[in-house]
Amino acid sequence: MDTKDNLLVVGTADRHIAIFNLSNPTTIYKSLQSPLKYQTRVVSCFTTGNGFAVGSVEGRCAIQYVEDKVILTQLLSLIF
Amino acid sequence: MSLFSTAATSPNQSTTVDLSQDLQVQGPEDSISDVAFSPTAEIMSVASWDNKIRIYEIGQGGANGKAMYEHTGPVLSTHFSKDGSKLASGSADKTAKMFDLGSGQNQQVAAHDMPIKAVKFISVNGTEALATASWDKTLKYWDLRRKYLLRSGTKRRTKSYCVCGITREGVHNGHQG
Repeated sequence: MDTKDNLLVVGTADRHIAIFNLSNPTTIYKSLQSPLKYQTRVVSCFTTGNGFAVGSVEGRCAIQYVEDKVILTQLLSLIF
Repeated sequence: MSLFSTAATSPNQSTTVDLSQDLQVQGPEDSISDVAFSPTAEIMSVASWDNKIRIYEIGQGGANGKAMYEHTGPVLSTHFSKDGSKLASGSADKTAKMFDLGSGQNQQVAAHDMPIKAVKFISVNGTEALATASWDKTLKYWDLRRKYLLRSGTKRRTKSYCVCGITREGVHNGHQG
């Protein structure tokens, strides 16, 4: 779990990731599957609060944006 | 001309870094699970599997122990509040504690049915709250002034997701405690 400003990201079991908007903290703003193949170990928010990094037990790291525009999200999201 | 006639630039960058400037801190007796830095002062907190939270003051010469408090189980997470006045810790003893850096006192502020994996101070519409994520598959928000549970998620009954966190079904408009 990590948070920045209104963004709260929770990495859960089964590679799920729950994103909360803290102006409405009781509902999940967005729920997604981790882009990584293996179990999530850590999530860490950008200082800008518009995205986050995901780390897995495999040692890989992924960059995810919360941005709603699907095309932009796909362009900017990375795994390395 | 072969494609490989020119020597490829060898990746001679070292994967190790210079550690000579690093300082070793007199640390816990068991593994460290989490560290956090104060956003306002040169203070660091270290959560450990030896059930203790250690608070260090970081200076030129290294880190000096400032305070310490204990849980009854391994501490898995620690985080400073935005103003740097408070410190929270989540533990395998199913509780979260808050430490006041001004008074040096700690008190329990949250409870779950299973170990608390992560704690974070959050701001909900201007109100400071503590978010706790637990292996009981719930995420809870705690009001820090009145010390009650703001919102809680309900447990999922079927599948066990116990490994690394709560389920995505964690939070909805749950009961107010």
